[in-house]
Amino acid sequence: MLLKKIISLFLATIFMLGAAGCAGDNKRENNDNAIDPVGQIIITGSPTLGQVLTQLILEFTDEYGTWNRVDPLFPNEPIDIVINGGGSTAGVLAIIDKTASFGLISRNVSEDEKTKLDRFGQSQLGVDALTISVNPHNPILEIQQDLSQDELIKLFSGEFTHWDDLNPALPHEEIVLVTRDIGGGAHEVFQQTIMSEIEVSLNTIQAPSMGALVTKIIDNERAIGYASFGVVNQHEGAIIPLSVQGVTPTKEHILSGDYAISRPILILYNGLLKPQEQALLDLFLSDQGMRIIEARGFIPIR
Amino acid sequence: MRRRKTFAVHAFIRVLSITAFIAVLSFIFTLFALVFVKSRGHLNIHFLTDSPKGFPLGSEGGIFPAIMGSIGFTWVACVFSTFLSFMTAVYLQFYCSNGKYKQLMRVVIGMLAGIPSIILGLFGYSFLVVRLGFGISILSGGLVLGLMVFPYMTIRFERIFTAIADRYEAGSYAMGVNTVYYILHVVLPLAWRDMVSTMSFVSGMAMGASAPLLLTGAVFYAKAPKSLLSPAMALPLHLYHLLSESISLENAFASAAVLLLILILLNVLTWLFGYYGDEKWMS
Amino acid sequence: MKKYDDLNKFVKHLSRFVSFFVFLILSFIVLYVLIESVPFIRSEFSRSFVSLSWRPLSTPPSFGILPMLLGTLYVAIFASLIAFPVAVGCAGAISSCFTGKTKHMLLGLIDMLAGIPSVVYGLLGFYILVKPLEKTALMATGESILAAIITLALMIVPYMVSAFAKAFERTNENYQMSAKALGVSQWYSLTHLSLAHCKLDLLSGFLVALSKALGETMAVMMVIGNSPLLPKLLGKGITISSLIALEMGSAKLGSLHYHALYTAGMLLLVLLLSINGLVRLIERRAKK
Repeated sequence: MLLKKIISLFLATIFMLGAAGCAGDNKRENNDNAIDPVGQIIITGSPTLGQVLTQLILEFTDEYGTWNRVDPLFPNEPIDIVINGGGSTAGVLAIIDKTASFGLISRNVSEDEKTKLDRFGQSQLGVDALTISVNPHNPILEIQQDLSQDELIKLFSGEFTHWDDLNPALPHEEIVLVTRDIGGGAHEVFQQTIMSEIEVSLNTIQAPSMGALVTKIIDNERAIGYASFGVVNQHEGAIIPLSVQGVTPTKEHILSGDYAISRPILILYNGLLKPQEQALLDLFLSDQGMRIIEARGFIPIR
Repeated sequence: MRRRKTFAVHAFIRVLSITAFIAVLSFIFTLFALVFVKSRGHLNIHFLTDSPKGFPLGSEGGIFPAIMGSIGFTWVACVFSTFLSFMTAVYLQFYCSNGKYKQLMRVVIGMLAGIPSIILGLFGYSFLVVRLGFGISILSGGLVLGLMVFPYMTIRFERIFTAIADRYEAGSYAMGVNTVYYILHVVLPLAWRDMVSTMSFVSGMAMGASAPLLLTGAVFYAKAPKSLLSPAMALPLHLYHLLSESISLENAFASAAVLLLILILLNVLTWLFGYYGDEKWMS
Repeated sequence: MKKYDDLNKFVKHLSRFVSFFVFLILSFIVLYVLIESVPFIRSEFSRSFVSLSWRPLSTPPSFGILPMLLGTLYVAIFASLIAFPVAVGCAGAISSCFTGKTKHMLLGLIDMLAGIPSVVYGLLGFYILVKPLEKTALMATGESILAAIITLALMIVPYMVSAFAKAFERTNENYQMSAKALGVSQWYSLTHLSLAHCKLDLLSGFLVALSKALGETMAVMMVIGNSPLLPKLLGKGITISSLIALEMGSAKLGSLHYHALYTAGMLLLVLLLSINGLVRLIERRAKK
């Protein structure tokens, strides 16, 4: 008796599998619209950017509910958007492997990656920068508010191990470096703009997201790291950016290019977008989108 | 002299044992107390029924999609594992006459149990997600979890069948029934409670596992899953995100509290069915 | 009874097929991991596997797994060593001081502890160990090998207690009556009988817990700091499973980085299966 139950449960599973696969086809039959349903839209990439766009996406989903409310030409299906993290590199990979509709990245696509992508599109949502930030109780804020490129290289390569290596007026305490892990866009940006050939030390706390990186600096008085301008703005006062090569990380300096470590906020997608996906992209690039990006501390593209 | 030495050894072991026992008990108490106290205020009905909200996402709102996702993953794992375990245990116990094969299977099952869950996740990713094209989904994650728990279920099923066989096998066959009749009319009516108890025990294991789902099924934000092929949130991984991305310590504790509550529930179920199962045929 | 004969045949073949399928699955898993490791082993960088530097994205890349391997061993072995006496003591206390229903209940409580997911242990480890450790002057960050060892030890104690209590049960069954008749106290029988008699069970229980510790991913990942450095007690470190969990998401399918991660997985797999085999040998010895 139980065996029969189990067999029927198993068969039920097979049916569900089949139904799941056929679900798409069924929908197509019921619609006499020209536009196919889009199903789930998956967005992968930088968790920092994902957090910013999530509010936009949630508002959008709450406001419209189904796609045909967004545009009467769209079929009547619920808006279903999935957000995945993993870092900028995971975002690029998802577009290469076609496992996501949109990739959120906080660096430029590398030449090597471009060769693997066939027919991709990218739109810039805004600009971000990497500030070199410390905890508000760090004595360096009273003694030295600027770091030269040479000092940065020595700090992040691990050549300086204690704070007094940087400046003898500072206490003899271990420097706690906080960086992004190798999947993060910031990792590459920092390596290319500041470190060039010299490797970042392995003795760092590799944070899985900018949020975690900033929190680490907020919690630890001896910490220093390359914190995203946008995320620093979200925690104003709890984390203090230093200036780099004499330039302070302000919106003006970042946009003018005077501040060295800036990075683009990009959204990557496969060349041909479905109409609903295009609608979502338009939302990101709209005034509403720009407002949210600015509200979260980043610099919108317009 | 010898007396004093053995007395010292006794005293030492006694003190060690009692200290250890008290330490372990206090740890259990601290664990539960800490989790539930830290989540006070955040653990309410809204937490269970809302989606994650707030900025950063997860600092407000609830964990409903994660609960649903975890249930989805666990359900697939349980169905898959129950089918595999039941068939395997049935074959090994009732149909297999080749001793060598039985031994080999036992070794195989033991080896499967020894594979770390992250490796199963690796396998699941390149085979189920990429090669078979299931994608990041409840199906991929559930199947990997099923593989993870399958050895434990099989061993338990075998134990149940053996215990029944000791008492009833000879008599049944003597009466001239064939194997499947024996299974359906003797074994199952006696064993089903223990089997359900095993299923709920295994579901507890699957629900708490996070490493295999990292690569095969779980995402940061999704709605409650509607089909087997959609990605979903998972409760333990949501906890991990809340903590490691520093979104909300309190909500992390609240999620942990929910996980613990579900596990206590499953534990109670396991005990209930197991308890009543024992009595039936042990007399 | 005719329908039962047909059904019998069907069930027999189906179950045989499924059990064979299980065998296939295991071979598949092991083979798959092996196959995906081969491109790295064959590559020109395979020598770097035994170096100390894990820099998969540099030019030239280096895939030194030694820090991870040492980190995995260091954390697991010390955690098991710490957990062992605690578990022996606890199991001893439970089997000597309690009987029947209370004993059953206590063991059930311990089993429930064993069922608590590793993320919860990671959360606890973070809150109880990492945060306070950070405030002390001992170390720069709270995330450390030390935190990982203690968290892992807490995690594996329930498994050991469970296994040891069962072993002590068995000895009790055998010798209880004679011991009581001779007027020996519970503690005496514990010390001199159970512990001595169960030596092999204790060893196999220790090894099983050790293998669980070696394979553990989440709890360790949340407190160890995840820096690819040689493990030092108060410093940060990383284990093989954390490495795979953290970097798999951003390793391009088919790249050298990807295959190197599989090779690391292969290493872990071989390590664990060997310990598994060792346990089996010991259990066979114990049966004699």
